[in-house]
Amino acid sequence: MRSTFMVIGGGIAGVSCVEQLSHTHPMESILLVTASDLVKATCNYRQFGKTLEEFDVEEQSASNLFKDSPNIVVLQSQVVAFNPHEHFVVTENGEHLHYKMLCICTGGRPNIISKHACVVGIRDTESVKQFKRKLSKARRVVIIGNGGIALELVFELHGCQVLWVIKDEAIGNNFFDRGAATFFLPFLESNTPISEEHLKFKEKSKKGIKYGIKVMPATKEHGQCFYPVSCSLSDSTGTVLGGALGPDWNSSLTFYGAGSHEKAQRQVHVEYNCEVKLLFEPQEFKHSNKKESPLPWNDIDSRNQFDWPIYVHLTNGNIYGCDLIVSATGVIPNTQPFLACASFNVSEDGGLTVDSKMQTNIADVYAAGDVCSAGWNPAPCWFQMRLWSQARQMGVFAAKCMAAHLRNEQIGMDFCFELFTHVTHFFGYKVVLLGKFNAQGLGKDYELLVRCAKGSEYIKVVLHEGRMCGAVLIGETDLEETFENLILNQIDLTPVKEHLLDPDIDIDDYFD
Amino acid sequence: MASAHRSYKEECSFIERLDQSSFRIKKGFVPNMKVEGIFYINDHLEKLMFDELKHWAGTQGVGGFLPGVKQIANVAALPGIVGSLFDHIPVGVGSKGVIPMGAKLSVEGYAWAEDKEHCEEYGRMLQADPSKVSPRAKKRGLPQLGTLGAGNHYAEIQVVDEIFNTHAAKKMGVDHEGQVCVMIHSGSRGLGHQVATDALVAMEKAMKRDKIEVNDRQLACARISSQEGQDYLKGMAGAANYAWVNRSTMTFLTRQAFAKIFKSTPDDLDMHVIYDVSHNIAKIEEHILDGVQKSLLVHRKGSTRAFPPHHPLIPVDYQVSVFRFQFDRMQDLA
Repeated sequence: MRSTFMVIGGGIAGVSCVEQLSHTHPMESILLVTASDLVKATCNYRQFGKTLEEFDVEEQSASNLFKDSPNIVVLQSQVVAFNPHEHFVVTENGEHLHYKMLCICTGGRPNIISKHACVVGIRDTESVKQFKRKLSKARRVVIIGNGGIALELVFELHGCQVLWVIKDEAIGNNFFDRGAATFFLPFLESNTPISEEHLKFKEKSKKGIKYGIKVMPATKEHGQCFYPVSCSLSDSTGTVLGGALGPDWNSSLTFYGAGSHEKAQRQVHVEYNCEVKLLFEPQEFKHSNKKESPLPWNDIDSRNQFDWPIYVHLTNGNIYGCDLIVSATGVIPNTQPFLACASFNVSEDGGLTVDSKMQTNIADVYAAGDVCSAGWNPAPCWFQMRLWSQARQMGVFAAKCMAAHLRNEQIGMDFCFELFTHVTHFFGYKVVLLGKFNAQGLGKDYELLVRCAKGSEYIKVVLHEGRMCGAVLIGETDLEETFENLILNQIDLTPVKEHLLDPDIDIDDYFD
Repeated sequence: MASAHRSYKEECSFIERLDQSSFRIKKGFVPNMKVEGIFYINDHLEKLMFDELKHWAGTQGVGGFLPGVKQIANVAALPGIVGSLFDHIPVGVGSKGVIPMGAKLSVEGYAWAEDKEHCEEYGRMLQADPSKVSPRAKKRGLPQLGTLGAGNHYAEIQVVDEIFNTHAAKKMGVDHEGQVCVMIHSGSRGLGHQVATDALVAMEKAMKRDKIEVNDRQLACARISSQEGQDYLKGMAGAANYAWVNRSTMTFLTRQAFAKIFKSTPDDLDMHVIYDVSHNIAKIEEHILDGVQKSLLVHRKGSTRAFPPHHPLIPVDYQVSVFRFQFDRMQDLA
């Protein structure tokens, strides 16, 4: 089979790439290679500012999604080999697929700490299903990692004890500083039954909060949930992995452990500044003569001392037993089998290095999403983070670059790469991240402005030489566009910085 | 602020009441004032203006936002400023021969033919020059076309509470209390921001070159005849045109939405545009100054021009009305 454009991977990057290509080149043949017919489609796309956007992700059948585009062919298969010189890939069935231009959107696979049966990596629909199955019997779960998935999981898990192991000194370190983390900490100590808390959030969410948490029976199948399912290549063990979970991966389900559902409460203990050192099987643990460390909510003479299926030994010396370990420590770019077949430039993080046109160093081969690493000289307030928002932007931009290449045209970088932006929801709050929101790369040469109203909003602004270069907005602050403009305009804010966050000043009017 | 610190009382000695609704700021209130400043208030605003000044004088004038009266005085200290403008009823530019382009071309098929008649400048400024709008500004604005934006921008469905001038209101299609109107407040979005940012950078250089000094570092300016001045006016006009197209696009979307919900057509729902006007804009206008007609560059910030009856710039079907909106919240659209 021959096609002008070939896209491998049906995650957000791949599907966005195909949609954009088809939009500009409805007459060119486009082939999407995906391991499952179910792909991710973005819907309810909302733009907040110039570069700030939010969208939901919906699972759809690929053939259905593209049924109105006769130029798009969806092939359900896996790619096992690649010949860059003759421009073709080989599928698991041995079929040769030729391309003029190729975009690799194979995403990443979870970085799992161990291959033990009690360890689950959450990344795709398959792993969520697996997790739910194992969770229904769990009394205690250990969550490792401090990223978005870990944060959301801790919020959603109840009816079992949760031990959260993070290597940083504050929760959500990938997204916040300590101050913002403190804003969320009360939720971990919440004694309200989860069902009531969810009701409260439902009432609170006026301004179209997409985080529509519905309390669903734990056994309910995910038929109508928005689970992004998609395809990608197999990981090293040979199991097919789906694409990354979309932004709403847990929006329509609540995870319950073995405890009673009605009165389920969140019970979280955080272990800061440590990692997992070792895992013990029950037998090993017994023979090691080590003791379980006490947890704040357990009686000293806690029964069931020895009946955990697995034990974690942390680098701070503590040892805990648990039923399940969730490994949510980020992703590794899924670069096989391509890496083995061509001499790609690979970045330190393992991603395929792409230039400012999303092109790899191999002729006519592009890459977008989690699988690639931005190799260009980034704008002052942009950096790469493996998020769905960037996967979409990269997918669309790669399509524009491929199209320009085909027409022999030059193309400049999309404006979305001028400023890092991300909108998400944690603990039921809208969270907007702009620019160098954690003063990334500024060393100690920055100034912070903070405004916090406990339980309703948290605003942090990063100033560098009097100019705004980043911000964290939690809650319905309505400041995102004004701040986005202030960062892009690089106005000297020195004369007004004392009042920039004064709630009595309509800063948006001032900079109108 | 180079001048020695003054007490609130001393500051107030520079401000003099003209009548019930206006005050004059005398020269010397800030250094280098070329003309006096005049500001218009009601009771509420009067208190705000003086409270600001009092607070500022109390903090020794360190940090924070400049009080409004100081901002006015600093503008009155800009080079090339002229005074006593509003002592006279402004007369308008003669009709230049209206060539519909700009907005009309851009929204062909989306806007109604008569929409542009109800736009200030027929929805386009002819002096716009796309080459004076930087590629970055275009890139920044492109994905935002047809979007409202956040902050103080809004689209509201409003209900007419009270009609003050039945004749004028009727001319504009507002004929009964309880009538539903839609107000859209949006403008040139990121494109305008970038045009302004680019101009600020250019003007800072021009100010050094032409040795222009201003009281407030946030005020940047350039001579109108300079390259920077001309470039800015052409770029700004481009941004204003973008804003009209942007609002026309949202007008289109609003009409579609109403038609869909009410299972009707925008025509049958009589969704005509009342008026579309910018509120942050600079325009060359003819005014009588000291008895002589002069071409002046008038900057309006958060305000719009009002015309007397029969003025050529009032839409034909609105003629005879005094063209002034009386909303609680000033109609502001740029």
